[in-house]
Amino acid sequence: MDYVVETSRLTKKYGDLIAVDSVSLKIGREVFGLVGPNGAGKTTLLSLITGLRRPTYGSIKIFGLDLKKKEVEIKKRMGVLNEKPGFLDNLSVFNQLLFVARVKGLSRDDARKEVLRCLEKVNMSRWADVNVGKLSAGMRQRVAIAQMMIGEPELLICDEPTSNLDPLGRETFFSILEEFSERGATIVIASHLLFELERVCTTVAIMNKGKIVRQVKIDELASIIKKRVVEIISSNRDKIAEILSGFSWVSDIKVTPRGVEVVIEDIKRMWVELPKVALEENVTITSIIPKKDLLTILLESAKGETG
Amino acid sequence: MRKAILILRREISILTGNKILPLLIVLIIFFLCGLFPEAKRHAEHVINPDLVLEYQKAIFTLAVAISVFLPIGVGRVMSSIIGATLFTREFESSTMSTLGTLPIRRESIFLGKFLAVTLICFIIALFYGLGTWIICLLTLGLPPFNLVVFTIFFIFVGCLYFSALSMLVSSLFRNSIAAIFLSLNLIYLSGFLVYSGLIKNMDLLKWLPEYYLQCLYNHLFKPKYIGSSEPSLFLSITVILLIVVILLAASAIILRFKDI
Repeated sequence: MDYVVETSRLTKKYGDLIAVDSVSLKIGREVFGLVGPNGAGKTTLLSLITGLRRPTYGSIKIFGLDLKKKEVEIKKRMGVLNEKPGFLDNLSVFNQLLFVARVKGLSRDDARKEVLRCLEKVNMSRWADVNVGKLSAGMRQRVAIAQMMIGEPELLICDEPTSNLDPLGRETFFSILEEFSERGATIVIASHLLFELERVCTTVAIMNKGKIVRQVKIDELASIIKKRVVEIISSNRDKIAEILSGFSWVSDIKVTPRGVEVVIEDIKRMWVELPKVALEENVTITSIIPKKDLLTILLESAKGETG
Repeated sequence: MRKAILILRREISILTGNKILPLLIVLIIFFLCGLFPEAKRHAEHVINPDLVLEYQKAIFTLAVAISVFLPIGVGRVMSSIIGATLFTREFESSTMSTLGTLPIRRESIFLGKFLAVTLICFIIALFYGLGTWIICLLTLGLPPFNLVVFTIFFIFVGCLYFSALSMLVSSLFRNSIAAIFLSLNLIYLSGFLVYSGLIKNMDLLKWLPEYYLQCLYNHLFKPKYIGSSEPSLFLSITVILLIVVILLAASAIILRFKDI
């Protein structure tokens, strides 16, 4: 099988601290999730793959090409969404993205069309002429998503992509990812919210202390964790409880001071059906918080397996 | 090269749109006040030692100070600030990580930024060279062509050296204030060592770029005052340009291997 991203004994040291410890990864044409607690080394690993940082040891191959030797060729086919997307505050959204499109090799006319298309996708068309410095954090994140999409990349690398996004923004983002995935693009997402990644990922790798401690297919997760307890935060608790009682995959509904606590038996259906019905019923869901930390469960199970 | 031009254009749009202008106005006023007595002495050598005695009116001295002496100081500070913040501001605003993920070599980023700085240095030199010409024309009559060319050339080379030194500092730091502070200190420390004569007898003077800059200045504007031990015009300019190239190469290498 031809892998899109291949790392071999990838290591990054900062003095005595080993941020990434001999990581060997093989990622095919799939949606690959990278989860782990804060400081696990996810961002460092992604920054090594995107060429932002230089490895201490090890090698990286992307599209079968050595990143060290063919950096520009690889990056032409790659779209990156950084954890902290940086923009020039005194440039307009349009000019900012136009620069990216031009650097990616598009002609002036094609670049203009591409920028408009990407802004349209993230519902930011009417903000095209506004300086980025005047945008909110959520809107900047949308611009960063549009920037990542420029040039229809074959490989997307996203680091904590949903931070700063409201529920609608997250919905837009995941639908964009689904589109890319359907077209055969490879997507690598790092997040500390495994809960959220389950929706789009086919494989998940769990990272801790710089190492990949476990790699599982998303379907296998269900056998590891049977049921999920989540708290759905909403100002309209009674209405949300009423909506939830209508779903077959929900049980044990308890009203809490912030919202409703429920046991979810099918997490995928929750992501698809709940926002839809909430929107129809005009109920705002502020956030969905897993009450039992899945990552901890997985890390513990990985620890058990390795002894 | 095409991508370096894109970086150059980006750089120009940043520099024309940022808030460095109020700071420069403050610096100009500062230098105008602080260097006024020094400029008077300076002007006497620059224009014509005999003629200048007849024109020792305050307005004239001030005009020469603005057109000749001041730009050397302001140009020095301006090019140092621009050079010192060239990379640090990209790190501070996280735009360096955006640039780093794009299909562009770090050498092209460096080249684009260097071209932008060179262009700015040339504009500074040209602007003040023309200023010199106008002020001289209004006060002393048509100035010698050489004076204008020398002024432009000297300020350009000087600014290029200061910005190259600051670019090296900028490639090492991630904080603009620290980079500006260190750059200005290095420049002024080097100038202080040369002008104060502290190390004159220690045979260390020839290791300071500022010394060659001073010799270049003497060759261009005060040929009568050149001592026999001073390096030739050719050597002065060669050393300065060589130092610029070394500083730029060092910055490019640091940037090539630096984690973004």
